[in-house]
Amino acid sequence: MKYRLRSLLPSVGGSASAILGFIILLAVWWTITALFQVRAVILPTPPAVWHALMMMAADGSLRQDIATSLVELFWGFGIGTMAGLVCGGAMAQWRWVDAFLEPVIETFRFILPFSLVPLVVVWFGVSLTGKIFVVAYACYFVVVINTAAALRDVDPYILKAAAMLGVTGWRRMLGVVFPAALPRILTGLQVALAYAWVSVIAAEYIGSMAGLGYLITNAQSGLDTAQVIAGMVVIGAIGLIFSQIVMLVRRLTVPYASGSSW
Amino acid sequence: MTGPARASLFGVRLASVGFMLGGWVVLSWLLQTPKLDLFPSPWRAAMRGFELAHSELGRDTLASLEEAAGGWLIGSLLGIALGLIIGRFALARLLLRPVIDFLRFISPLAWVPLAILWFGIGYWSKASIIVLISLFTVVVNTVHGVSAIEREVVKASQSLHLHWWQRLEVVLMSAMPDILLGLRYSLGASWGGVVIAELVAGEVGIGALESYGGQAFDVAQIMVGMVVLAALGYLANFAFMQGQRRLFPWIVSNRRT
Repeated sequence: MKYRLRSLLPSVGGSASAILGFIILLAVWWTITALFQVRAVILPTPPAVWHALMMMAADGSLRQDIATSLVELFWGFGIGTMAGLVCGGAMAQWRWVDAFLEPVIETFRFILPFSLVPLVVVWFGVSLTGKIFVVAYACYFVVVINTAAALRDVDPYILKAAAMLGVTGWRRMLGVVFPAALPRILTGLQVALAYAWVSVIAAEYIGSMAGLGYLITNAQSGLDTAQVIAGMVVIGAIGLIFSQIVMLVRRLTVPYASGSSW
Repeated sequence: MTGPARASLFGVRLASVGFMLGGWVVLSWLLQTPKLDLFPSPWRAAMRGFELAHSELGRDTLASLEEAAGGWLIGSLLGIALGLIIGRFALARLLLRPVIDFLRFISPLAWVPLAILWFGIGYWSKASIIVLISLFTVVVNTVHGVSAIEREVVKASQSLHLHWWQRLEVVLMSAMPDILLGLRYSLGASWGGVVIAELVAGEVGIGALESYGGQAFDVAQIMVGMVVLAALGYLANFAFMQGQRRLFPWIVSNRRT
């Protein structure tokens, strides 16, 4: 789970390929429903899913669910990554902070964010706070581990070269260490964003009244498979948009370390 | 580093552990509510753990273990097979890679409601989620490993006129470090899938235990579930690392970490 983490993330070429995959999958799906007369509860036809999507878009419920999920994502990701960046930076800077935080992180890293979901439902009810807590928790660990490691593992030759040129103090921090560590810090943020989006959906399965996760579980209990699949497509599309934004940010900020594919 | 400095850092580590336990106790005092025990103290949680261990905890743990292990094995085997095919054959790469790329954007956890519609509330509605989680991770890593094999190795196995299964072994072993990485990662991610699938549709399993605890406002029971899941995740990771070191001692990363 170290530098190779990035290979798990979708890439730029990946999204073009994903669109092709969507077309292939759509063709297979349509053929199956047309040939085998599958019951709509098991697998609805693509037009039925499109119809369900349009219905939800027309009555405004889809917009509201997306807005709820995005608000949870924004706050959860924001709080989790901020805490992660600050703690990671402090861990790289001071040994005693590292010694203090490491046992805490090593303990809580194994306590899964999703196993917190019933707990936050009891504590915070159906409010946004509980979801934000779960999302922030899910983001925090990957950010703090990657940030601390990135700042610590800067190539010693770069640091020696900087020392030889007489760069010290804040200029060394901002001009040398930070750019060298940035690619891996961004990788941590990128993975955290993917985790955050997943945990938003998962946290909404239990004890919530709105959001995309609520949308699909609600549709499932009403045996409305078309709506479930429509919701999944929306979740996937938003995930795709996020990964594109992240790729763009990456190419703009660290053009010297971008591009990954599998 | 000098001796005293190391000793003081050890003191800091010890203080950190004390801080965690002490923090838990203090919080449980501060947040004590008369009717509902919303933040039980460590010993309350431990007591509840013993109680549950005598009743249903064993059954729930076994159910979760079965789901995780079954789903992970199936998903990993499928993933390795698909990865080898995609990595070696251009046609498969052309057709299957885009499909996987697309499906990967929809997180496996978003399949939970659909899995319930397809498989009901039994074993397979949870195991299928684990299959998806493992499949995608392992496929990506296997393809990565297979496509990074040196041409000389492939050429050598051709010029030695190896049988197809021997050539398969060469490819598999060359890609093994990447495959293992994917296997380990998906093993960790599986537990998240187990708990969320059981929370939504569970009768047995640790997720179901937590969900019943939540409905009864029994926070201690939820905490027991969290700790058991954490322990299982830790043990699974540890066992995997041990097995990996035993089976593949030649992999470079096995020597250090």
